[in-house]
Amino acid sequence: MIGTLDSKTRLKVHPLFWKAFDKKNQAVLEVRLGTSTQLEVSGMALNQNFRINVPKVISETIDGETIIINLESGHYFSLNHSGGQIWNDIQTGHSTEQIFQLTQQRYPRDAAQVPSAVSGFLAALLSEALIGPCETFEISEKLSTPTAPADRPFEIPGLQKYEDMQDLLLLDPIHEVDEMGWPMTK
Amino acid sequence: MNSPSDYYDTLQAVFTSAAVRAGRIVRTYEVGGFSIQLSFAGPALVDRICPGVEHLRICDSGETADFKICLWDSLSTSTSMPPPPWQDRHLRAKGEIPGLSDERIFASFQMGSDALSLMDQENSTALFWVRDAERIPWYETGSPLRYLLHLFYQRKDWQYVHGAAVGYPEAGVLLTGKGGMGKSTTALTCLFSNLGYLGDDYVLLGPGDPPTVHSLYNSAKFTADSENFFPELMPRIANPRKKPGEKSVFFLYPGFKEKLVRSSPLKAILIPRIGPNAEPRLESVSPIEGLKALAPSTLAQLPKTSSTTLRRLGDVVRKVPTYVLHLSPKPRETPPLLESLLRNLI
Repeated sequence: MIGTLDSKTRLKVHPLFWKAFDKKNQAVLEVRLGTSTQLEVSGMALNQNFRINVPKVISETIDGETIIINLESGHYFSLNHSGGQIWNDIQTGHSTEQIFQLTQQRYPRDAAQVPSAVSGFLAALLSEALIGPCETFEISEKLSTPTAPADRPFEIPGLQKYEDMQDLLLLDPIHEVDEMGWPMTK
Repeated sequence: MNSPSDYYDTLQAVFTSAAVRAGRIVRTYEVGGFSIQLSFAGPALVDRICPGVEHLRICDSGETADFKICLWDSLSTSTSMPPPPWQDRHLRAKGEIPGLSDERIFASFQMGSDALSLMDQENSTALFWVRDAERIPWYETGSPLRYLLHLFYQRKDWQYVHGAAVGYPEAGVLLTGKGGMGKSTTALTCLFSNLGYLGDDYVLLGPGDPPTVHSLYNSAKFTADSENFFPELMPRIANPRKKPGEKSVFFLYPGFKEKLVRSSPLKAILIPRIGPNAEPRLESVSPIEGLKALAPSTLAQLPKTSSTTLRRLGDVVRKVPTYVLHLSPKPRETPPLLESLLRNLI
C-alpha cells in the first residue's frame, strides 16, 4: 500500500487527478476513506502543494539541465533531467497531484516507480529549503493537456548539492568598533 | 533611523565638507562607453583606488559623466562621520545594511576593507567612505569599487563577473570557476605570449551576440605558490611587505600597457582544472557546466543579485562554447593552446 488517508488535514482531491490516478494505478494504489482527510503517497501529502522559495532561490535550465542557487546560503545544486522536469512543473504552478500525474504521463512504463521517486525528490527539495509549502494554491487547469511520453527512460529524479561557495558568503572577519560605533576589522 | 535618501544626503554633505577641507581631485574613466567620474576629497584614497583602473582613464568629462562616485576618508581629511544608524550585528549577507536600502538607495558596509558604500540607483551617483585609507587591503586596491560598479552596470543590463579574461581585440576567452583552480596563473602566463590581458579576477560582460568582455582592472594577484612561475614579476609587486596569507598584487599599467586589451568579443568560456596532465588540453562540455562555473562564484560575491542576474549569465553560456581547460604542471604551455583555440574561433 502506498496511499493512506488520515485525519491530519483537510482533503481536497482534484477530480481530474483522482480519476486519472485511480484508472492508471488501481493495482498499486489503495486508498482508505473514513474519517480521513489527507492523502499520502510514500510520505508525501498529495494535497500539500509547493512553490519555489523565491527570491532567495533562483534557477536556470539549459538543454534540459538545471542549476539552482540559494542566494542566502551560497549552496548550489544541479538536477538531472527528470528532476529538472519536476522543478519546472513546480515553477509553472502545478500542484503535487498534477506533478505526479505529469511524471507518469512522461514515463508510462515506469508509472509504478513514480510516486515514491517524486515524493522523495520533493522531500529533498523541501529539506534544502528550495521549495516551501504553498497554502493558497489554485489548482492549475494545465492537466487538461496531457504531456507526451518522454523520449528517454525514467531516471530517479536527483539533486546534487555543492557547498564550495559558502565560505565566500560567511566571511565575517574578527572586528571591533571604534569610538563612533563604526566596525573596524582587526 | 533616517530614510535611505535622507541618510544619503547627510553623507553627501559630509563628503562636501571633507572636499572643501582637503581639496577635490577628479579622475574620469571609461568602460564600455560609459564614463565613470571619481571625485576624491584629498589625495589619500587616490593611490588606493586608482592604480587598478588607471588603464581606463580618459579626460575629465565634467558634469556629463554617466556614473559619479564621491570618495573620502575621515583620517586624512579630518572629517568625522556621524555614528552609524545601525549595528554591525544587523548587517545582512554581503554587508547590506537593513533599513538603509530601498528601491532607490543601496547601502552596504564591507567588512575587511571597512568601507561604506551607498548607491543612488536613480541618479547613478554613489558615496564611498573609509575611516583610514591606509587600512584598505591590497585585494581591494587590486579590484576597487566592486559593489558600486556591479550595481551601476547591472542597471544597464551588463554583468560584472568573477573570472579572468585574455585574448586579442578581435576575440577573447573568459576563464572562470572557483578560486585556486588556475585562473590567475593562466591569465598571467599570457603576458609572456602573443595574447593580451583583460583581467585576472573580475571583468565585465556587455550585451551582444557574442557578448563583449571588457577589462575593468589592470591588476594581477598571485599566491606564494605561484611566485616561482613568475620571477620576472617579483620586482614589480606593489605589496612587498604583505601580510601572511595575503596574495602578491601588481599592476600591469603602465609597465605592461602594451599587453592590456580594453575589450574583446567573447568567443569561449574556459573552466581551468589542475591535474596530472602531460600537456594542456581542451575538453568541450555542455553550457550548463559553464553556468555552474560562472554563476555561483559571481553571485556569491555580489549584492542585489536575482533571477535576472542568473538569466543574463545563462544567456552568455548559451551564446559561446564552454571548455574545460585541463592544465599541465607547466603554466607557460597553456597560451599556445589558447592562441590556437582563438584562431579557430575568430
